Order: sequence, then C-alpha cells, then structure tokens
Amino acid sequence: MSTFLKGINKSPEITYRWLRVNDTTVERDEFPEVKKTVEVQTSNTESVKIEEVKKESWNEGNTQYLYSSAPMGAEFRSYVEDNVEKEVIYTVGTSSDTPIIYEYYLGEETILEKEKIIIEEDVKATILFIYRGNGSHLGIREVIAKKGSSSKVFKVNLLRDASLTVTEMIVQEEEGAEVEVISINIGKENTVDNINVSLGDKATGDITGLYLSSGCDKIDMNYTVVLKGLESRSKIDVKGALSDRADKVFRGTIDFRRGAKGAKGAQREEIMLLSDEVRNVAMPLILCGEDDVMGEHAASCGRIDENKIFYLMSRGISMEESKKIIVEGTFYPILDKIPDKNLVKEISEIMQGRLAKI
Amino acid sequence: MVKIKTQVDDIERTIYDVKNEDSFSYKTGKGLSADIVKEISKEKKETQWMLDARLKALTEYNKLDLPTWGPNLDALDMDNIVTYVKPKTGMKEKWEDVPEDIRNTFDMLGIPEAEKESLAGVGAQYDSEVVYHSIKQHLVAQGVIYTDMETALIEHEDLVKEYFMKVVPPNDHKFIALHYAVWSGGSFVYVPEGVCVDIPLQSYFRSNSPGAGQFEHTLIIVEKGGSLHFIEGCSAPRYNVTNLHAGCVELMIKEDASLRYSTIENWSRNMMNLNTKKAIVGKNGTIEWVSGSFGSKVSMLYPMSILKGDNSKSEFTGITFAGKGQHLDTGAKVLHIGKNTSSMVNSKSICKDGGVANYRSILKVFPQAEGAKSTVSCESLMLDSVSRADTIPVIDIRTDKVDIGHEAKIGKISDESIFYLMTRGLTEEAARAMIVRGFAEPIAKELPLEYAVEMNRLIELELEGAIG
Repeated sequence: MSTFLKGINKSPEITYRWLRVNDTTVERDEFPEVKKTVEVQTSNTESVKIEEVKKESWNEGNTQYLYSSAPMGAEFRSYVEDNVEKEVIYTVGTSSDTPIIYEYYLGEETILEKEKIIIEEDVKATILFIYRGNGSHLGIREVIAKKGSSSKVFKVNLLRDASLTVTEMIVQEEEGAEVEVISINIGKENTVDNINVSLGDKATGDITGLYLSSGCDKIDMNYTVVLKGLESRSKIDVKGALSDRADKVFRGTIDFRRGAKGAKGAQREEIMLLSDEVRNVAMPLILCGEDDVMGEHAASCGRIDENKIFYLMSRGISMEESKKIIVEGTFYPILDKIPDKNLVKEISEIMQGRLAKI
Repeated sequence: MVKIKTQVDDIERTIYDVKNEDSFSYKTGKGLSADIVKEISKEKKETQWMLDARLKALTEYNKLDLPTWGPNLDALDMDNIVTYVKPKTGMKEKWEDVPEDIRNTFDMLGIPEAEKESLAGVGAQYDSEVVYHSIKQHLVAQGVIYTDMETALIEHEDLVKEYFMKVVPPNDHKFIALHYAVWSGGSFVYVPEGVCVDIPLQSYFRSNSPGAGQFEHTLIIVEKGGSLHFIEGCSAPRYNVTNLHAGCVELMIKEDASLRYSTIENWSRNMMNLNTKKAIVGKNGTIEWVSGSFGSKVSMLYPMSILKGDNSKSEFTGITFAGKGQHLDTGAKVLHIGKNTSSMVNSKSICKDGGVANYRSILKVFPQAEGAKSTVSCESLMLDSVSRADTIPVIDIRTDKVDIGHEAKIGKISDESIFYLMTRGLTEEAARAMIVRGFAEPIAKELPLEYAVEMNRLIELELEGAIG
C-alpha cells in the first residue's frame, strides 16, 4: 500500500520513538472519486446563516486557521485545501432547543469539507453532523464559541465497509463560553480523529468520546484541551470497546498554560477489551506550566467484569446477552446525550450487530 | 493584597561542591574515535572480546541519532568531553591507605560512617576507577562476589561475559552505545543460589575532573532464590564545563530471587545525567527500584523492568525534585512478558524556581502476558508558576486478560489543607512543611537513612508568606 498521509495527528508532546505512538500514517492505494458537491440533508437550520468563501478569497479576513496546539498536520491540510473549492461558514445567531442536524450520505465516494462554525454571543445551540454510507471523508471544521455561548457539537461516524475518516476539529472559546464536543466513532475501517479546544477565561470545554472498533478497524484519536484562561474548566471523558484485531491509539492531553489560575482539568479513559488480539494504546498527558490548577487523569482497561456477567447470568440471561448489556450500559451515559432518539436507536442496532460476535 | 510565595531552599550543597586539584595519570584525547577506544582497552589490559564489544558499540554510536524528544541536549558537545580519567592511586583495601585528598572527599560524603553503620561493603569510585573496595568476610564465605568491574573481568571473566551487554543492548540508544564504547569502572555483584545478603551493599561515584564523563557499568546477578539490596549514590562538584554521566546498570534476577536497587542521584547542576538501568526478572522474581533524583542540570532516567518470568513483579518508588536551572525527565518503564506478572509504580515530583520535573513512562503488556496486573500513580507538586511539570505516560496493551489502572494528579498545596492544620495550632510555615514532607514520605521511608535525612532537611522551609 502506498503512503498517503505520513506522520499526522501528532501528540502535543512526543515520547520514545520505538513505541511508534507519537503520530500515525494513513496508507491508501487509491481514493474513491472526490465529490465536488456534497449532498447533505438538513434539519432545523433556520437559526443558521451560511456564507461560502471561494478559494480565491481565502487569504483575506475570516479564513485563517484557529490556533491548535496539536494540529493534524500540514500535509493533511494541504490535501483538503487542494481538493475543496470553497470554505463554508455557518453562523448560529439565535438560540434554539431543537438540534440543528446535517446528515451526509456517501455512496462510494470521497467528500472533503473545510468549514467554520460561529456560535454568536450568549447563543445556545446543539449541532449534529452525521456521516453514513461508505467512502472517504476528510475535513477540517473550526468552531468559534463567542462570549457566553453554550453549545454541543456532535460528530457521528457511521461509515461502513472499508471507509476512511480523517477529520480535524479546532475549537476556540471566548470568555464564559461552554462547548461540549461529542465524537461518536463506530464507523469502519480507518478513523483518524483530531479535536483541539482552547479555552478563554471562565470557559468550559469538554470532549466526550465513544468508540467501538472491531474486525481490522484502526482508530487514532488525538484530543487536546488547552486551558489558557483563568478558572477555565475541562473534562475529557472517553469510553470504548475493542474486539477482534482492532487497533486503537488514544492521545488525550490536558494542557495548563501559565496564567490559567484556578483552572481545572480532568481526563478519563475507560476501555473494554473483548479479544486477546487487540492493540490498545493510551497516552493520557497532563502538561502544566501553572501551579494554581488542579489536573488529574485516569485510565483503566480490562475485560468485562466477571462479577457483572455472573450477576446477569444468575438472572437467567445468557453470557453473550450479558456481555452486550454490560457494554451498552457503559456507553449509555454518552448515548443519552444525543437529542435524536432515532439516531440513538440506529447506533444501538449497529453496536448490537458488532457485539453479537464477541 | 499581594501574596508572597514561600521560599523553599535549594538542597544544601556545600559539602558536595569540594573541588580537588585536577591531577591525573592518564587522559585520552578529547574526541571519540576507534583509536581512543583501543587506547582505553589497552590501558585496562582487556581481552579481545571486550575490545570487540567496545568497537561494535562505537559503530552503533556513530549510526544512532540523538533523541528528538525530552530535554534540550544542546549543551552536550561530545568532541570536548574527555572520556577517561584515571586517578594516581591504584585499588586499595583499607580507607587508611587511600590518598588523603580522595579519602577526605569521601569522608565528607559519609562513606566511613555508612560503613560503620553495618553496611556490608563499600565501593567508592573517583574519576572512572574504583579506588577502594571492601567486602565483609562472611559474604565472601557465602560465595558472594562484590568487586569492581575491571577486577571482575580478570577474575570472573566467564561470568561477566555471560551477562555483559545482555540486559541492555548496545543499540538501545546513542548514549548507551557511547557507554559501551568507553565504559570504565563500576561494580560487579554476584549472589549465588539461595544466598540472602542481609546487609545492603553500597557504591558511590564521584566525578572531579572538568569535562570528565562518568561511564561506570554496574552488573548484578542474583541467582535462584537469592536476595540483595544494593544502594547507589552519586555526587559531583560544580564546574563550568558540562559534565556527562552515561552509566549503565544491568540487573539479572533469576527464578525466586529478589533485588532492591536504591539510588540517590545528587549530581551538581552542570551534570548531564543520561543513565540507563534495566532489570530482567525471572519466574517468581522481584525487582524493587527506589529512586531519588535531586541533582544534575539535565536528567533522562527511566529504570526499566522486563518481567520475563511468570509471576514476576516490579515495584518502582521514586521522587524527583527540580530546582532552578534543572530539567529532570524521569520515570519508569515496565514490560510484562510472562504470565500473571504484576507491577506498581509510585512516582512523585516537586518543582520550583523554574525547574522542570517531567514524568515519562511506558507500560507495555505483550500478547502472551495473560493475567498481567499493574497500577501506576504519579503526582506532581508545583511550588510556583514559573516551573513546569508534564506527565507523559504511554500504556500499550496487546491482550484482554489484564487489569490495568493508571492515574496522575498535578497541583499545588491547597489552601484548605493549610487552614485545617493551622486550626490545629500549627504555624503556616510548619503546616506547609508538614504537607510537603507528607507528600514525599512514601519515598523517604524507602530511602537509606542518610538520604532520607537530607531530603527532610531540604523540606525545612523558610517562609516569608503563604504559597500561592
């Protein structure tokens, strides 16, 4: 296989090279045809103003990248820039309790996106981006959460078969803003996911992740929160399950910058191992240049608790069913955040299908 | 109201910063070449296999590049490091026969007191050669071998050849390749089957020449059912030219055997401490690392436990204290290979005055290591906001039959804790001192007494106000 994107998704701090965990490389022989016009189904987008900025105008004004302490990589950004024709800027100007939904369907094709989302001051919003079908999806999405805004941004990867997903999300939060990025990765077969959040004074930035990898899936995650502002807050909470010969690398970083007095950051990863052929790598980093902070991280991994299986089996449930219930139960707090119950049902069915083989 | 930071003293260094006149009987040219390596080997009257090993390592050194991660090593200029310095005296059996200036230095560092306090034997190194060595009669009667590496090469060549370079390969990284090319001095310990060495063995190192490097090699073999506690402590005076310490410790722990390896590193603030330590542990065996890192300008130190045998265990307890101008990058590495292995890592770090204290580690569980259990706990205490503490662990698991937990915390002394102790009648200064001592206590109680006392002395704070 030829190398496509080499050394991308690099950790904000690298370590021993012989471990081969500092970054990742995507290998691909060929890509499905790049689709120039992406078809997307939308719901509840009345509060969103859309502006398209053609490539020729990119060096002016709004279209420079936001700061990221661990960008996906110059090669990746160049590939996206070379293959899209425009940047799309979504501005959410009014609050709404109804989630804004963008659903993409890939029919053996490649889609690329370069987008910016602006959540205006004091606006409350929930946005879902959902990807179905099969093909390749590469995209850069920047989010500017203005002062006092409160938003949840969902990325749901449901791609099938031998698909590829390489996405970079950069979030910048102004004073008092709250953003939770929820990344659901149960797509096949190769996923590279980069989320980088920078927090201003009294801002809250959470990253919640769920992944289920099976077969020969590869998933490489790089989630970083940079706490720059006074009394900023962050939680990175990731739960996942690996079965068959799945290969997973998780880099999670809480980065306290000097001056972020009173900041608090916590990171947790919980992994269930469902086969003895998996590769499970975790790099939970805390970087700290400020003493008046509280930072903590915890990572745990192992098989499904046998006591829990025993308990369910003693209630007449089969072992296979017991394992499925326990895994789903672990993911439930994250799935419960999704405002679209039909989507929750769809995700649960996909997961049940995968877990039926464990 | 402006809060004034509590003043935390640097470690008392007066007795360590003693410089003897730089006298030497032999010095190599400044750079590193095959001719220099051959000179070293010839001077030591080594056999061909050791010279071949040195030259092979030199080839690796020239192939390998510097690490791309970790502290900045720009201050290191190998072309100006004199690699081998031999003092004027030969090996001695009694302290009284050692030249006065060398003896005085070690007297001040507490070696005779340590010996008086029932330590079994003392090996003291002064600028690349072991100056003095003694071993108690009853250990000799048990078949325990404790000598310097050069003597071991002559008197126990087959034993050394069987294990030398087998725990740490010469191509591990650039500085170990350098070490194997120019190594000099160090300790050799052999504990026969079933022998429990009930009194700790201690070695001491010293680097006194400007620009001199320390490349001592320690090789310890504990045969089946044996046990040993080995204590290693280091010190060097302050010089303007950057000093380099690229030592190597190879530990072979056989079936049912156990070894505790305690180290206090207190190199002066111009030393680059790039040491490599590894232990291979056999079936039912145990390795315990106790590590205190206080000195040096730059440290890269990650003792590694290779749990090869079934049911083997590793424990690592360490503390790192980084003050002004120091960048200490330390941690632990554990590889679980056998079945039902277990490991525990408890690491603490403190930083102040712009010091950088990083924790870096790897916990790797191989596919065949069913039943592996591990807990890792690292805590960092920052005493001001001009310092830095990063935690960079990696967990790599290749089987599902494991039970792994890892946690880390970072922060400062909480105001609530201070308040609570003050309501119990303590002064603010005493409260802070108590909390910092309590933070370091799990490590202090594992350290040899002299070092625990020194560490607690450090934590007697001069308080000018509240911290934070």
